[in-house]
Amino acid sequence: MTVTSQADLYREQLTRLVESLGLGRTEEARQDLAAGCREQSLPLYAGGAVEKRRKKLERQLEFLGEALEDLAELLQEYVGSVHAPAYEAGPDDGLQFLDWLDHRLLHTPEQRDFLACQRARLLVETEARVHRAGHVRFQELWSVAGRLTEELELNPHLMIHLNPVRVRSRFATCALLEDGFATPADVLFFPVQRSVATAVLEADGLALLNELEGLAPCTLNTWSCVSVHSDRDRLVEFVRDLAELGLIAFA
Amino acid sequence: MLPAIGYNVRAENRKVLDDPAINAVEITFERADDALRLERFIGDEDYDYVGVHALKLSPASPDAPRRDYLDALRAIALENGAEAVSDHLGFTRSGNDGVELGHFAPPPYTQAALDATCRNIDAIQRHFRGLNFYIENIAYLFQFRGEMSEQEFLTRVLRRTGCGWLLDVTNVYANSRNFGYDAREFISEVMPHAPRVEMHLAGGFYSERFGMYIDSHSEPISDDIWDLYRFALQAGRGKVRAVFIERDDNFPNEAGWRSEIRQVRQIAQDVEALS
Repeated sequence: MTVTSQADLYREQLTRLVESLGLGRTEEARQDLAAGCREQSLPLYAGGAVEKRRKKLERQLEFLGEALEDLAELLQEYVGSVHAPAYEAGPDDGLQFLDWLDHRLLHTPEQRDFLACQRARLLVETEARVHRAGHVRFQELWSVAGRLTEELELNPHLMIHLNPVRVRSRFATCALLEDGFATPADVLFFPVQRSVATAVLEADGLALLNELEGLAPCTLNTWSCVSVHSDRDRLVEFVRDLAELGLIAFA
Repeated sequence: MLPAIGYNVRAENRKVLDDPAINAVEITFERADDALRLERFIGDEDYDYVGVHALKLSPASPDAPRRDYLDALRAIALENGAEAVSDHLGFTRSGNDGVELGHFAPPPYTQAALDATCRNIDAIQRHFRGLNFYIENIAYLFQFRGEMSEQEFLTRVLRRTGCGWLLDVTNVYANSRNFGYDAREFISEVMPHAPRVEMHLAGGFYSERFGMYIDSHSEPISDDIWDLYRFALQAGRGKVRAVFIERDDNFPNEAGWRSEIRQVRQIAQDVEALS
């Protein structure tokens, strides 16, 4: 026979309360109410908490409204049926919403691109949080990259640093691309100061980026010695372009 | 001892943080926890007192807070030169493997809840060595059935853990109106058991629709709350380290921000002069 401890009973009670009130449902919590509490106090509390969550998601996912006409209804359904994850912070609930959407609805290719774009933006935030020290350090280096770019071919000791926060995505349509880009397009998302920037990489650029990911931080000389994809002039051009975008910095 | 005085910082009040009445700031952790932010949340200014106010430690949960959350909180505190961290006497999740409630709820005032809360606060204080931890009395719209009063629960938490008390004056006022007890008696009974105190002040409103005072943080501080603040300062003489105003909506103009914080300081000076 199992003896349930007071601690276990407390855990069961809180689990029941959180799982019901967290979705705006109050019936299960009524039995726990102290005598004399107002009838409407639980709905007022639970409704307020759910509405606060919905508004946060609405702000965070405003971009999706351009592709999903029923975004408001979807958010309402989501907050009433899916719990916020424990320790939910920043993009966590938004990412969970995108997972929920993936499993629920069929989307047009254009809508899928919007979802992919939104997901990538949120993942940049997640990565920046996880790798905060590296993220802050890179942004400090990038703030002076414009000046140091001039030393690229002159200073053999200049180290090339790659933005440590990078999220790759793929767009199937031109819905979010400027004219002239072929689809499917590989898109890189990365933070530049306080914003999230994007870069579309074609096949040769992608190959160079993959090569640099295995080497950085490194000097130009080191890279040009080992590069199998390009000559030094092309590497210089590539590095300058990526520095301007915010993907490369120097030290 | 005059407490440090200031605002819970947000974008809308940054412009008045240079007011001579202000020598302290409080940072809400979830506002500062911006992954893409590069600079210190409080900028380059130095203050006599900086506190970090969290929302998700969930001290009354069955489990102690997760280490990564504690580490993130500590990082923000150290980055901004804080000497204190605070959170609410309630729960926001069922456990570390559970889900979030979205807004803290009062715990049932039971022995099991008390044991869990004290255990968690002990763990929090061990993690925040060198930082003072304060537990805040929350405003609640309801209570769960319990074995003791909120006053007894809070007193026992303070005595068992030795943590500080973030006395939210407006929350005491709200609960006393909504649940029919004496706010001054509550403060008088709990205060002797608090080794150190921070305070919150805010303005709310009475909802005719719900028949309750709502701690909305959206209104100017009323005379009743100013009076209770004065009483709380007298009761906590010698142990009040800082006082912060919280305002989250319906923001005043610049003159309004400044006049309210100056009143906080003026009352503190008046009480100090009488001691």
